[in-house]
Amino acid sequence: MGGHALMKPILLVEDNPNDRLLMERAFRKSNLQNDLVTVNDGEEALRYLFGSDDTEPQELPVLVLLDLKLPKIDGLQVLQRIRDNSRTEMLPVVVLTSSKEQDDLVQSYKLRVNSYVRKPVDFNEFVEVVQQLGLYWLILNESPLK
Amino acid sequence: MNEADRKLQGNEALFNSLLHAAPHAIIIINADGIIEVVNHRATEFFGYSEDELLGAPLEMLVPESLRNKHVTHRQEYFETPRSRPMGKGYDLVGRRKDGTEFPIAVGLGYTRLNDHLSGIAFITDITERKEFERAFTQSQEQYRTTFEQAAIGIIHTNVDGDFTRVNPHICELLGYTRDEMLQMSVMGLTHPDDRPTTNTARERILQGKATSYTLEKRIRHHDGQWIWVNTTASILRDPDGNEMGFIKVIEDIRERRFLEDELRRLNSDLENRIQERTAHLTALNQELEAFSYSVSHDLRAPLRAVNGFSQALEEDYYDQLDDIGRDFLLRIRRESQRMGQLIDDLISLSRLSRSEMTFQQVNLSKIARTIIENLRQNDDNRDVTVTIQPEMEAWADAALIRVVMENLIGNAWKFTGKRDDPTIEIATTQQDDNIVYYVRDNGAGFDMAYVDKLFGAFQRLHAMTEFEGTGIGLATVQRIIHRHSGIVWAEGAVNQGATFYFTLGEENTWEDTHS
Repeated sequence: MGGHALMKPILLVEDNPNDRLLMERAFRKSNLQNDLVTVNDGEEALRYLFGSDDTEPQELPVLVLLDLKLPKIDGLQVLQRIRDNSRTEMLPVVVLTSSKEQDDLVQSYKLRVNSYVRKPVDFNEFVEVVQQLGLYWLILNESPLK
Repeated sequence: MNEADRKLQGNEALFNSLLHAAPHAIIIINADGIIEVVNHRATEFFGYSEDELLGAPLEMLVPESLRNKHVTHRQEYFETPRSRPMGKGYDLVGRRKDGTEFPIAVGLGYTRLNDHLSGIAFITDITERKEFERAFTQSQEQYRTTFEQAAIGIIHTNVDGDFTRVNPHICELLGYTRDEMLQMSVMGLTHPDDRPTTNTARERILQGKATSYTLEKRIRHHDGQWIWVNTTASILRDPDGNEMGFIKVIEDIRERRFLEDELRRLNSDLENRIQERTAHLTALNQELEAFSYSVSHDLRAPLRAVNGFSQALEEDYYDQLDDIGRDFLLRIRRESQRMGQLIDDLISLSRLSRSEMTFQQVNLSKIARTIIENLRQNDDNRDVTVTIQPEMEAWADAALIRVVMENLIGNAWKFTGKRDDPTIEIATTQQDDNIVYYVRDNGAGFDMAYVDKLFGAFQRLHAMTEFEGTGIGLATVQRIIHRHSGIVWAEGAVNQGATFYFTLGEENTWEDTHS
């Protein structure tokens, strides 16, 4: 694994298998080279990022795509833990969710989310969103993380 | 004239002066009751001339019915003559020449004139005094009757508040006898909590700051219960201005207090019920909030799957589907998109109903211009004639009123789409005192028979193929206008355009903005 942003994985935190499948499909269609690592819930996301009693933390992803409504530990809690940890506090996190509730938006921004994007119903629009996110976060944006 | 003659002459002059200047009628008689001397006042009082009186019997001046008795009295007097002062228990009646009678007071004296005993009567006309006494007695009697019979409690007190006189009504009200009450005082009967106010009011009067006070307070019944009364106390002063005591009028107001308490209780019940209801509504609102959150999140996810996998099917299995199969997939995707739009509209409708409102002065003309500019930008091909009345102002929630204008103007834009000469007018008119805002177009219009369906959620008067839309727009408009305490209505005819009118409640009257 190289250190180049283009080669680092993108972490997708998503519990809905349909959405995971569609995301993977959209990801392929948008010609992104990075690995898409998928975890099913908040607990798995934290284990991936911070490790557990018997596992080491994985290499930091270049970007976290985070659903909010997750079983066990929800998206806002995951975001909170990411921001509270010095190793991950500057990690770009994009909330990718169905909800556009004002509360969710405000809470996410209070926890210094980098973007808040609502999943469109239409798949073509969905593909477009993924492409734009990839273009922006993987290519245009400069990250402080090496 | 010798010395003695001169002296006699002087005495006679003095006598005449005294006789005629006296304020009383003076009549001198002999023992037989024959008048010997009268003064001017006597002629005035009785209406006889001096000549008529001199030599006449005194009884001529006494009413006929009393003459015999008077003769007896006169004779008795001459047997033991003595002076006695005027009027003392001897109020009598005089008779004038014309037969009329009048009350007199008589003082008697005697003298020895020309060797015989003469009686002297000093007579005063006491008509006025009698009249005054009568009026006074009558007034006394009226007050006594009022006091005794009044259907209201009356108490007289001395300056210290000790009862000096009580009427039957107050005795009955408080269950004491008159004698018991006369042992009591104002403060003794007043509820401890009402004593300070009573005392303050009393002090104000004694300090000359007021002449009376009215208080509602509780006083103690004989059986120990407290009775609500309205008491009015007035100071009683003697002619020199010294306080003599108080007159207190006491009204039983238990019934009124009861009704007031009842009213208070009902009000507080009502308030409690409102609070309960509000709490209930808050809970319902929270449920609704949770509901719309879950609608927005959970319903969209399966839609996304339906849409996404139909597309995947179309892309990956294109060759294995015929035209009909592909058409079915297209329909599935289109409908899932529409359902997504419906869900979004529904959520924003419910959010509009719940959001806090911030009222401010809003320039509707400016908002209308911005909306029209946006519509023009998104729809280059259309050439719509738009007139916007300048400086239309409203006291409203800016964000919500913008939604109203977007919907109404958006509709006008949409429904004039099939016209060659589309026009839209945004202006105000006056109806009674209200400003009525309206958006008028010459588009597809609607059948007035269905006007009551216009503002219902998901109600559409046009086929999807004709004009797009979810049917939420006018429901949203109505919800917002109602939240502004205004009303919204429409007029239209098929293919002859539509006009949507709305008002924005009491804050937006014609007077305010046009005077």
